[in-house]
Amino acid sequence: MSLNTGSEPPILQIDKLRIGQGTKAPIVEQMSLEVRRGETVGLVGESGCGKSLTALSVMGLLAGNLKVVGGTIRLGGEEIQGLSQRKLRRLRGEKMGMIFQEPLTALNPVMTIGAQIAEMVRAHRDVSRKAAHERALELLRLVKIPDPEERLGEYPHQMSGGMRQRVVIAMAIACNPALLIADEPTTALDVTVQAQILELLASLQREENLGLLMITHDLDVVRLVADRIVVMYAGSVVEEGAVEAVLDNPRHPYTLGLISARPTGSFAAGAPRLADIRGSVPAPEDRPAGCVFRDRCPYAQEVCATTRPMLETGQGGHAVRCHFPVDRQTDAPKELAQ
Amino acid sequence: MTQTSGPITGNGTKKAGPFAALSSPLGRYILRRLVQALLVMVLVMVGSFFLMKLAPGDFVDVLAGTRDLTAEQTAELRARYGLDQPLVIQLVRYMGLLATFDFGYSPINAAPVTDVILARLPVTAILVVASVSLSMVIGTLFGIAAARNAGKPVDLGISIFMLLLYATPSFIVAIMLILVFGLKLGLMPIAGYESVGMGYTGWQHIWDVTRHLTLPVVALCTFYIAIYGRIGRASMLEVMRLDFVRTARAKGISEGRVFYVHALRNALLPLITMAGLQVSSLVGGAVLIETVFGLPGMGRTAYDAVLQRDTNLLLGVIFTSSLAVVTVNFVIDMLYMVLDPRVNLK
Ligand SMILES: Nc1ncnc2c1ncn2[C@@H]1O[C@H](COP(=O)(O)OP(=O)(O)O)[C@@H](O)[C@H]1O
Ligand SMILES: [Mg+2]
Repeated sequence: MSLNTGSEPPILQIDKLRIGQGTKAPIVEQMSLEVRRGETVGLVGESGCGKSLTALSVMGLLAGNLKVVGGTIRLGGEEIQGLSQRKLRRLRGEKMGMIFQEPLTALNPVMTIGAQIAEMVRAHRDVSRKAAHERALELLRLVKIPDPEERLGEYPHQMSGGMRQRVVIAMAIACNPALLIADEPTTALDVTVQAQILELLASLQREENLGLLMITHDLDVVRLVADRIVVMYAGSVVEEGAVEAVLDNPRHPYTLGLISARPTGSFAAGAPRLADIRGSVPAPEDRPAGCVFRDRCPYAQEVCATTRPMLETGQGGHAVRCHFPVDRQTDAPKELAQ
Repeated sequence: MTQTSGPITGNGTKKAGPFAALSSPLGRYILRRLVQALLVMVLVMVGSFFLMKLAPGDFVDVLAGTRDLTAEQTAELRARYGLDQPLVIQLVRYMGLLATFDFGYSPINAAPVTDVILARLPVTAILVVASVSLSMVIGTLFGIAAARNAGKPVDLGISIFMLLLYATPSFIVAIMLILVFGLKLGLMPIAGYESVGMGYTGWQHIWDVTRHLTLPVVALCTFYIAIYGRIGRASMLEVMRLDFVRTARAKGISEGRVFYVHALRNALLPLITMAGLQVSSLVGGAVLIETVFGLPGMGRTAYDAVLQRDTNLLLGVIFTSSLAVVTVNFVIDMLYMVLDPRVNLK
């Protein structure tokens, strides 16, 4: 789906990102991922894995008590850490935009929709009030909000959650960014509205040739919209690759667990099933030594307790961080099959 | 304020004429608030009338205590002021007079209550308006500065200063101001509302009154500056944590705009509520400061009326104060509506 040749640097390139909280254990570490222009990457993992923090650190919007303490974040090849606040602000909006999980609280309740969009346009483009207003109108049309002229004068509380999420999307793409980060954009919405928002995001991504980082814990969403998938567990990547490759042939036991925990079961008939993964994501300070997943892993061996596995890239860029990756074609452990 | 688009009345045809305003939610809302305000006034007046009557003695007793009055004389006085009538009759008559803003006669001032109040209202009005606006502006600025620099030395410095203002009773502030600016430095007049016998007019008069009221206003402000400062700081910090602030930052607008445009307007709401409370408590509650500075204001008037059992005057003061408080609350509701479009008009 990518229109780019490999020569252009990825629009987003995170390498060995480490997010710390004072002297406490880092919350995110060894986090790497890439998003190319025209590509949708699904970032999945249970709640508390560090997906949102990864996204916020790209935007430079981490809460005051958190800090990027290691690794690199490149936007179109340019390292953004150490940039002045002023430069970073220009990048937010012009190079990257973000959509948040809670559309109901994401907009300023005392400003009209039109004012909030126009403000964004005027912050980045030297245009008149009228031109900004025109652009706002155009954007509302682009995100398919009915009666856009009237909506411009309305306040957020006069709109439904789905409509508000469309407004947030309109703001995020107002200045034609190359990268769009959507942090669980449909989690707070009704199922029917979810589908519409996903469709909108997918079509915008195609039309504007965006790099889209879609954060979700819903694997069906990933299958629907993403080209590649990055599976995150307890602060780092455990598996990544093309969507079909990873979902049809998961190699990390955690990915396998996520897939079989879906209410609709496995994607591919015959894929090994795993009983729901026991327990929950450990807090950063409670992560075990060695492999962070070993406490919950049915296949953990001695080496898993002592040595942290590396992210090993195999065929077709399918990478996995596991000493004993699952392979259903050859050696699916017997106890997997139910 | 612009209203929601779309048909406002159910049947689509807008009624014209003097009641057109009633067909809009805003018009109905305002009308409802006015009716409520009227009801509050009636309740307050009925309630205070009975309270007044509960207290033993009337002003005739007070008079009788200071000079020799015969039984006939007291009876005649009571008859003249209607004090010999049954309570209910007195109440009905009184409420009827109130409706025409006639509060009767103030025996201790030997003048109609309306005249007494009109003469004293300006002092209190100036005190209240000046100290509310001044303390709100200064306090809010301190609060904003503290929030903007949260956790830094500026914040700590402001916090300590606010604590100091908060902990110092206003009459102590008043006495210190008198000692320093009035007596030691001789910069400011320390008593009264205007210079007696100077016959100032026009700007000279205004300047004279301003000089006389500066110290009392400052004394009334200090405590409230601390209140606004603390509420303002807390409110700003709370708003800055809300989701929409993150969205605003994600748009790449300047941090100043995030703070002063997005957060501030949301953070003002609790401060406006506070202003309403402050007005209510100052209208009658400035008596201490009025006494210290020898100002003929409403607080002093009420105080004198209580001591001398001048029921008419006291009820007049209560009426005027309640009217002021009810009006201010009404204005604040309207302000809320302008500042917060979410306010439910139902
Ligand atoms: N401001 C913060 N201060 C301290 N810990 C935080 C903060 N924000 C998030 N965390 C912690 O970081 C971890 C990852 O959070 P997050 O990135 O929001 O997870 P996800 O988006 O994957 O659900 C969680 O354990 C969460 O409690
Ligand atoms: Mg999250």
